[in-house]
Amino acid sequence: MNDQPRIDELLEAYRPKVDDLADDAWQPLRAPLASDPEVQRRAEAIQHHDRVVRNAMHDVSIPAGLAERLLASLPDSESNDLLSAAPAIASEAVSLPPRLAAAARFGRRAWIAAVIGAAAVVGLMTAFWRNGPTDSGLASTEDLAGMVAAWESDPALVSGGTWRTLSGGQGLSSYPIGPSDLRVPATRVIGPVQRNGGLLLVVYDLPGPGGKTARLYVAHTNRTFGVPGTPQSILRLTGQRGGIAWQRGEYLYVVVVDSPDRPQEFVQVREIT
Amino acid sequence: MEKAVPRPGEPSAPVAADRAEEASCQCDPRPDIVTLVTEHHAAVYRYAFRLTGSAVDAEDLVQQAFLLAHQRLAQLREASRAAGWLMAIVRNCFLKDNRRTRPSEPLLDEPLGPDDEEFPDWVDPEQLQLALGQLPDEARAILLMFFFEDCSYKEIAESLNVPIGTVMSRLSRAKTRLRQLLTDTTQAKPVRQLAGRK
Repeated sequence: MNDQPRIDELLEAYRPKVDDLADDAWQPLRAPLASDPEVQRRAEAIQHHDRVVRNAMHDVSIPAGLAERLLASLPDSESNDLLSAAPAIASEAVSLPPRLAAAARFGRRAWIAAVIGAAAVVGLMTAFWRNGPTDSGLASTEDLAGMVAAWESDPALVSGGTWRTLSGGQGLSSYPIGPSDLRVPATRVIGPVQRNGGLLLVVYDLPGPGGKTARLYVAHTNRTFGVPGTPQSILRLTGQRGGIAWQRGEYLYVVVVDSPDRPQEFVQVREIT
Repeated sequence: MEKAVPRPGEPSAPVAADRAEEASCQCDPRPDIVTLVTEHHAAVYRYAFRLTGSAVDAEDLVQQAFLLAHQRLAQLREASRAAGWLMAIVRNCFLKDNRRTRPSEPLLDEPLGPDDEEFPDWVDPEQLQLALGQLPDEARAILLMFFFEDCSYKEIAESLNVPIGTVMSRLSRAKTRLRQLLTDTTQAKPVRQLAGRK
């Protein structure tokens, strides 16, 4: 009896330290894997192939504005509220590419929503810029950059506030953030302080290599920002500074550094798109 | 230790009780659709792109999937399972649509030769897409479950409703074919020439 096909299938399934199959399923592979150099070589080759393919598999660029388009396509009042509350989204919906309009089942709804959103822009723009962002709706990265600029020049945070010293990496464990996000522990904290629209802000200092520092802003907000759920997108700020922003639920995280090239020194960047 | 940033205003007693109960039973609260889109759109799009091989088709597929997810949000019991749940919706939409519009293809039932060629240390993502595109839809789907979602054989079997032995044989053939395609294209031509498209 030729066991080769069965051995091949088991070799493909074999993942060290992963309990994929029941013990008895591995039985035909155990002896060859322990004693046959050719089987061992093939096992290593397959593991190598799997690693290479797995690494390449996630390397796909994300189209700009995808999240906003998806939210705008949702049919219920929730998404329409978002659409009408955010000028940036409304304007993007107006300029939806023709290919989305070709999706006939969503096209008409998207256009109606876009027209409603565009009509709301005029009134909302006035309120938006006069009163600052409200604590609801979806905000663009431009809105976010503007908010960060305001935080950075905020006297209560920059010079007038009282910073508290942290030690041993304490201070961030209360949030859905951890070593997989930040490369360095926070050393100082200030806040919480309340800012526009009921947003609550806590600011941390992050020491980096070579005496460099970054600032981590953690905002508790019910607004949704056009940023990913993990650190991956560079946020362009004024001057030569850069940052990375991500949001998990009601927590928005922004790390600001002096150079747009440096955020990766402070944050575990998953992928820059 | 720092406390979490408090919400504006104290929660009312019933809300606080709900939260305490939520915490005590260690339930994983179900996210709303906006959270799902915000947190998972990138991964779901990548998955859809690997399935379809086209940015246009991937975006349409993702849009369709999130609409379905919105309608079926009650089926999602735990937030931690959201990514897998969304990808299952994408996969099912993809396979269902393609079954409707294209004749079914055999799942790699041609004989395969040995694949002893040396495999490169790095694969161009476009090259990977070209290779995936040459596989039948169902083979691509099972490969994505293995490589992209990191599903176990048991999970794949449960999801596809087939025995584990069937998963083993299908996946073995799909992986072998993918390896051959990638080895051939890597050794034959620069990928940019092969791709001829972005």
